[in-house]
Amino acid sequence: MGASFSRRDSLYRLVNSQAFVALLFLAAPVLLLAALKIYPVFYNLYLSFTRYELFEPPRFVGMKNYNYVFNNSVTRQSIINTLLFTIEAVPIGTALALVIAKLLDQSIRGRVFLRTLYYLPVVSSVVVSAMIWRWIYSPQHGLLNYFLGAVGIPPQNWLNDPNLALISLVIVTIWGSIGSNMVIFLAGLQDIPRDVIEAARVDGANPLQNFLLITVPLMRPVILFVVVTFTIGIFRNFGLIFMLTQGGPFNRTNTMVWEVYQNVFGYLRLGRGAAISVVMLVIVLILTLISFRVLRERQGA
Amino acid sequence: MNKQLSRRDFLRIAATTAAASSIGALGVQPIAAQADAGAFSLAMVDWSDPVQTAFEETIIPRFLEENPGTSVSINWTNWGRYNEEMTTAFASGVTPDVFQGGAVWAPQMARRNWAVPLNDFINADAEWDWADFPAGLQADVTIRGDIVAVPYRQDLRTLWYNKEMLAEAGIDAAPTTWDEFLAAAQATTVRGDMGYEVEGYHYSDASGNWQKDWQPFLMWLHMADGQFLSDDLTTCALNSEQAVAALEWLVALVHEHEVTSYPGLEPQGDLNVLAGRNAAMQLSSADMERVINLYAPDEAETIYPTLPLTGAVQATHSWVNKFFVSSQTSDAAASWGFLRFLTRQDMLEIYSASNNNTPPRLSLLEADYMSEKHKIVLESAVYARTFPQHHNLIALFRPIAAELEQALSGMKAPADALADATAAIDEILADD
Amino acid sequence: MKQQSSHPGTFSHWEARIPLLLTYVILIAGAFVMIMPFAWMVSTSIKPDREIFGDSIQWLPSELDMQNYTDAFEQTNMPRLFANTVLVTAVAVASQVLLGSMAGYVFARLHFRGKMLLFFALLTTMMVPFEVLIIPVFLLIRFFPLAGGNDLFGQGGTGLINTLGGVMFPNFVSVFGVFLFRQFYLGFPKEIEEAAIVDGCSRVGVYWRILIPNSKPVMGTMALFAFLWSWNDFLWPLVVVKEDSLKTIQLGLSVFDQEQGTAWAELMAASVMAVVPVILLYIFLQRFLVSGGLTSGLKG
Repeated sequence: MGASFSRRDSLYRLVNSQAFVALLFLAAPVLLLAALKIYPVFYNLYLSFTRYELFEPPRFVGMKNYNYVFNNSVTRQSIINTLLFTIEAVPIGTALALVIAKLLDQSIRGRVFLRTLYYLPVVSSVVVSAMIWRWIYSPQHGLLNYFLGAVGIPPQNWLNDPNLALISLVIVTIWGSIGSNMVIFLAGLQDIPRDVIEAARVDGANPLQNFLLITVPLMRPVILFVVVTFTIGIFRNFGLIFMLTQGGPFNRTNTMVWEVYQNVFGYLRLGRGAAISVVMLVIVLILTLISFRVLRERQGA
Repeated sequence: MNKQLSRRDFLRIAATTAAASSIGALGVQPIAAQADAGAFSLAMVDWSDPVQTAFEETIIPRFLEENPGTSVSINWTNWGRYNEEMTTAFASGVTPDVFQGGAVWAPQMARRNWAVPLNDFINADAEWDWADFPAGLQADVTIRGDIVAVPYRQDLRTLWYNKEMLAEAGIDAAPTTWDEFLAAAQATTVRGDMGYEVEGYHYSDASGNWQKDWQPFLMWLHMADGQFLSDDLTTCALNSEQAVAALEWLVALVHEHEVTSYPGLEPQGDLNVLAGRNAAMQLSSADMERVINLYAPDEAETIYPTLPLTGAVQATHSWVNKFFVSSQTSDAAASWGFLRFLTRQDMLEIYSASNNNTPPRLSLLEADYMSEKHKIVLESAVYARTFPQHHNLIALFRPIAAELEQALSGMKAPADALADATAAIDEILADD
Repeated sequence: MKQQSSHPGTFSHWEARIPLLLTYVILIAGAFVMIMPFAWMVSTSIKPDREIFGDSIQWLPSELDMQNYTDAFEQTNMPRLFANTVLVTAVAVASQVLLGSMAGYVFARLHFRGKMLLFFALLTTMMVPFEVLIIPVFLLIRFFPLAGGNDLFGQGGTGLINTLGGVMFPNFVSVFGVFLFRQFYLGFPKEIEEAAIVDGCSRVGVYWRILIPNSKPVMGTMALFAFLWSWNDFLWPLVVVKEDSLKTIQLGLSVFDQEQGTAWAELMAASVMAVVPVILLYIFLQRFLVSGGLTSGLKG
């Protein structure tokens, strides 16, 4: 080190410096992310304080859009619906995915095949899934009513009954997300040292105890990750609503993302749509922070 | 064991990226100039198989034949997503030259300057028979003096009833007043252990599309001589005595008289409730006749329309559907020529006949396809009211859904529900 | 810590069987629920209408009826939909893998002022759903400078609206990818790189000669996710694409979503056509995952 200080050397040193390489490698991704993720957050925030109908420049209106969001019954309902959707889908969906992942995380015959089957709904697009399920939910010739009929339950109008529509969407959502959550859990299970579980088993822990007392606690960060991404996934769930219920019946499946779409592309109220998006974003961020905190407390206890 | 990914593999991936990106860039080209001379794009929403067949096999081929060197591309959508689709198209600056629109579109299109005013074309066109369109329909597409669209259909709803079922219940004539209507409904209703076997009156389908509550209510509202907005369009008129009377009447039909269920019976496949003999009366449009002839021909002789009922007044509602020329078309005159062709008498006849639509032209009232039943529907045109010409109707309809549901399911008093709907709508109006 | 090898054979076969049987019962029942909708889709797609709308459920068609496929193929312009979707997806996959690995390397290995700040800023955006930003991103694409007839200030034309470039744009890079690659590189043994640097290898060289060749599992994972995101994307193409000739397969499928009377048989046939290539590709890409990330821990 430091024997010669030729110009070529210092140039090389510059080019090979951490800062230069970082700049070189980060330029494209960071610029793109700034344009697509960071700038839009702030521009969206700005728009949420304006009235903007695209063909005239945005006009500042203060808190008017936010007043609307929290006072208008339809919009308020959309916030409630989104939270209901999350509460109904996330705990069950996450638990099922974890159990399946744990069961698949053994060297059993047919493991790869079974895993593939569980993953298929994820591979299938939202549009295809929605189409299939609309057919299954069909009141007249649907498979689900046929199964229910076999056990004596009268046919239900799944997607059009105000009391069933949201549940119907939750079912499709859980079905469609078990695979992806399972894969994340499977990856997480890799990181649990085999010998810890082996040791517990040797010490007499049964598989259930092993799962609840060893696997689940060790998997907490992964569970957190799944809960957060799953929740965000539900907030993003546009295609299913577009294809299956269009926010109906009677706004029962009118979620925030649908409300944004309606305001922007239905009524051309970009400012109001932006305000709903901001509320949506704040809720997502709060949920994320809460789960982080809950996790930390549990770990501390 | 893991095969390492060689640098050559990676280069190949990178090269693919570059190649694919450059191909992708080829897609980056201006589209706005798409409407070359003679290439027309058309957005259709009135989607049913017969309409589509009529357009693709007769109407458009005839246009191409009469106008050599032109081409037409049609984009079919359904009502459920049409408003969003067209709004996105305008927001994007990429719209079809000519597009269909619904009953409430004209004021909105005029307000946003999205429709080319057609007055000059119509005035300069000696052969264009504007007088052939009934005055009420002309008024519906004329916003502050600008003719912004040409009607292609009037959707008149009137009471359809099953003659035989009424006769079996000892009623020989179709009801003409609310009282007669209630008597007929009570006489024909059959309730079983599991709920209704036959509804005397079928209010709306269970499929919770809010319009299925709002649209029939609108007709009862007109019969009660109520209206949706005040005459000057500045406030909602749903908290009026008349509107409350209409909703109380409907709620009574559900809960007190028990002649209709809420939510209503499910249609059986393609067979609607009336055609399936699960209901004796229903408010519906002329399309009912086509459905019955197609799916329940046995019932064709027993199901008939009648003139609108009389509550406080004799009235019904008319949905006027129309064609617009987009303000973003590159050649407004040529696009008018295309729209003109589509709404010409002979083409409107083909179109209307395909789906048994009620035509908007007086000269078509005697057209071959106009059946006896259809003429009864048409007669009700004189009692028809159309929507107020407010530019934001679609948004104004939103608060109604939940309130009607609350009232009809018995959870809220009709007067309270309408007062709440009025407050929400007034708020939107004030914000305008 | 107890060593598992010090207790060989305490685990009897008899004890092992019950959990194993239970495992299979649960897994197979679950798999049945997961797969049933697809089976029903395929079954519907090859049935004539009278068997679809019959009084009772008919599990298998009495005869193979491929008419629905030809009908669906003709009605949707399938080849065009496929070509558009494949192009859009290929660009997304390649770009996300490349940019993700570059950024991931920097965040895992290099040090510079503000690195953690930048990383957390990016990570925070991972919590920001794209759907929340649909308005500004739509405006960005609509007023994209110098595209689609727009001037330098984004006025005058339609920007990237109604172009495949517009469809691709938001999919060039994913924060998830950056995070994924960073995590992978953090877990990669540093010694090899340090040895290479001692030998005079540059930082770009370390990335290129050491990390990239060993990134196969993470690349496969990234590629799979990018592929699925892009292929299944619906809202964005819905907003951006206006013309039939530029539609992706997801948009094309919605053509069947008619108001009155859905053509179920044709719809299911079109759905099969849309989903089969994805399943095949998944099974192919899955080998990357199997040989790499997900099961490596199982081998011991």
